[in-house]
Amino acid sequence: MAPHILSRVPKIISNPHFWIVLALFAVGIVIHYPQQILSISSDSLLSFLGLTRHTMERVLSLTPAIYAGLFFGLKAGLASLAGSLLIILPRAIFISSSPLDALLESVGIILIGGLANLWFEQHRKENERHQQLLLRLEAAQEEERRRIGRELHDGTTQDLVTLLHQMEKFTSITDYLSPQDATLLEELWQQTSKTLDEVRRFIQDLRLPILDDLGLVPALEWLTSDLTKQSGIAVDMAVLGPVRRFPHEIELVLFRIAQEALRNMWKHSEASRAWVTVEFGDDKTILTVKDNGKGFELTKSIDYLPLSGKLGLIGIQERAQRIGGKLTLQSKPGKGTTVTVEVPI
Amino acid sequence: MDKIKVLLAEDHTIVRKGISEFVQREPDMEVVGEVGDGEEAIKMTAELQPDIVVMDIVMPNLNGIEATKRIKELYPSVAVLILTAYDYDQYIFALLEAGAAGYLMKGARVSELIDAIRAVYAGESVLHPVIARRVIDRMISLAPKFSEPQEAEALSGREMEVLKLTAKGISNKEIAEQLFLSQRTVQAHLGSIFNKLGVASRTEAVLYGLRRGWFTMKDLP
Repeated sequence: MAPHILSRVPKIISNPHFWIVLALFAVGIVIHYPQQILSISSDSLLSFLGLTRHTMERVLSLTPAIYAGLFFGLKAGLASLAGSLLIILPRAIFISSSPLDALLESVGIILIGGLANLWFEQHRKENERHQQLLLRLEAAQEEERRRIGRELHDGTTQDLVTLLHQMEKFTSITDYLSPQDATLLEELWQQTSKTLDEVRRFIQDLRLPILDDLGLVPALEWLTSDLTKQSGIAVDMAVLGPVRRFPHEIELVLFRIAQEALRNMWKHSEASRAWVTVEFGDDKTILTVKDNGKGFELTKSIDYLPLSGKLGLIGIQERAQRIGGKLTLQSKPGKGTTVTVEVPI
Repeated sequence: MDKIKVLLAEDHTIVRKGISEFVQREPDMEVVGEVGDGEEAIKMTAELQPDIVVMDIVMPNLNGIEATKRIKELYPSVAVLILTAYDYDQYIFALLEAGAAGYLMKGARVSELIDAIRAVYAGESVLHPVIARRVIDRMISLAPKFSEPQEAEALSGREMEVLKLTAKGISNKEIAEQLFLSQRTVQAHLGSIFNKLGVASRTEAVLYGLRRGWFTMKDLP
């Protein structure tokens, strides 16, 4: 646990919320020990604020714990609660005239702070479950649509093609067609051909033919060139290593991740260029989506992204996890964003 | 007169039967075999030695693209025409990179397929110049990705002339006019070119020449 925290120290220090929690603690300490720290009498300090001392103390004891719980999670919240107690207890034990009251107050603070943190944690876990359910639902929907698309492709379009063949055959072997008959048959042929085109367009809403038929790399090539045309952002694609194909589930997830990452990039980042790279290694494959946009604040672990409104990235992480992949996110304000997914196949 | 030997590879039986009927009715063609998957397509090409293989791009066991690659490796003088449901660039690039001579949309008139079979057999082009252009643009931008084509016999000066004119997208008839040859001579030259380069169609010969840098984008229509 200790090295784990040590490695995150630089990130924590650069996080403004951390400094806010510290400031709250500082204020709490000063309020509790005004004579020791500032050499002013406690009454004069608080009468300035127009509140009773006890109210202020209670509020300020709880605030760091609740704030930390909200922005850093259960562990940090409980640690802050312990910190608050460390501020209150010395005075209760050594200075206060009614230690029993002070101790009762401490118990009250533990209860409220603890419950608040547990409530946040519960809420966060429910959000996560909700997200997971949504993604599972989405996956099931996708599978269903693909199935229908496949059946339409294998059955219906082939039937239409056969219809077209039969009409053509009829026209070519029938000698005694009047010009009107011929025209009518021609119109029928055209109508059927149009229907075939429509069914094909419909199928494309349900499944991704390039991905299914040709694989991940051609599908990404199509995605990047299509997006370049639509968005005006120059999206380049590169492939490293020998191209391999994977089971459909994996290719679909990787495609969707790239699609989602590029969509986020287009909508939020104001980027002018983007790069999609697929690297085929011996026993792993790495998909990278990078842009030169404005980036964003990576404040904490990915678990807390819903709080900062980055739901799309949660989707990416869930998808990556589903196929046993590892997601890495790099972003700095003004320096662009890089999404990397590594899959061990 | 030798009939053009056609092998049909299509997994949707009714569609395949439909095409087969049309081809059989042509006096200058015959269907030498019908298969329903990629592996069978390769096997039957070996056994039956067709002139043209008409192949669906999507098939069980081995898809059309992979099967085309293998067939071109083993029997470069066999031309492959691909049937595809979609004409996204990616499909066209894939099938031409695999060595196909051309493609047709499933649902197009079978008479167009018949014409295409004759055209490939005669060494004429099956690709619309606009499509050819897109493919070439892509080949140039992906140059390192393409493996060096195998060393081929050198073309004679005349043959190179014919090939360069072919790259311009003009028909055999026009080439004959420009070079003051008969059409038969032009066809013979093309046949020799195909043999020397180990290809079976105009499309493949032009792509080959581009890879070797015998002509560039500027030379093309």
